[in-house]
Amino acid sequence: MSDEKREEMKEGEKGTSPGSEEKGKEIENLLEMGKFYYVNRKFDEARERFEKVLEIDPDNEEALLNIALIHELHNEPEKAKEVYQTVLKKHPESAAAREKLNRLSGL
Amino acid sequence: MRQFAVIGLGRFGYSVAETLIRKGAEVLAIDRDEEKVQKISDIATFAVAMDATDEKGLKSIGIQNVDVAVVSIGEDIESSVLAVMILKELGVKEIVAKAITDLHARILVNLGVSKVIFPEREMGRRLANSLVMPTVHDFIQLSEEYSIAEIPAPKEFQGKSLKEIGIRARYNMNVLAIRRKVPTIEDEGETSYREETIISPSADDKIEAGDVLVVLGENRKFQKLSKLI
Repeated sequence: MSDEKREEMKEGEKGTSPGSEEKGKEIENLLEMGKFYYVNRKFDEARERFEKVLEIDPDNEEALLNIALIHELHNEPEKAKEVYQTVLKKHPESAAAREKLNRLSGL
Repeated sequence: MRQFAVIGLGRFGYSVAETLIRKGAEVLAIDRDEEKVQKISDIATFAVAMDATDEKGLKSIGIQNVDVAVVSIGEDIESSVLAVMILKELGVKEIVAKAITDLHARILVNLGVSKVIFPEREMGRRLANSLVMPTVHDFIQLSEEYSIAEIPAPKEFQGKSLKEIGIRARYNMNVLAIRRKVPTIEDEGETSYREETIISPSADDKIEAGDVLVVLGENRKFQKLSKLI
């Protein structure tokens, strides 16, 4: 990811109380930033971005899946399972959540 | 990579074969039940429906060329013993066989198998260990006093080198390996992670969040260490 792109996304993060049209863009920026921090092992910063997404859109599947993944990386399988179960309640068709929950349950 | 044969594709045999295949090994899978053979045929190097006591049949598929044969015929003791006997006669060097009773195990040992396993007893032992020490991922008892265990690194270890932590001095334990989850991002933007293992880490290797330590030490010390988690 280029520095320019990151700056753009940081700018996007600053936006407050966006209109409905801008919500999607803000979520997209937050998810991208979250993933950037995740892949650089800055898990607290990543988690913060994913939680911000949930403040805007409490059902956001991608944000929830990433929070569960951070729990997995921290050897917190029970917490990860809880989040995957939440995803399945909100999105019963989520193949990613189903597959990961099965794997953590030893199936 | 060594070549393996797995004879008997019940739950245990299938699981052994599947894990070997996942680790990149070549596996010859055998069972007399065509349905079980069909189930594994997509992933196994070669899967064949045949009677494991058919000496000519086993020879014709080249079983004598494998490095290790796993005989996981548990319930039918006669077939298990005959299969092992034939494999020995055909010159298979290493045979691991599943037993269901002590007598069955003794017969297998007398036939010269390299290792006898009781999957249920092993599972029972592992379950008990995981209940006593829930934070310990895996536990292999080497003797009455010593074991190898996989333990998630306590938070207070994070960011410190093995030298700074002083595991050997504080707990009289040796870190044999560090298992680390490395965050990844796919082309489609999906996050995931891959696992890497640092074998025989140096004293300067630092512990990161989420690391799992593979440690060798005294059993009583594991409880002390696992309390930190």
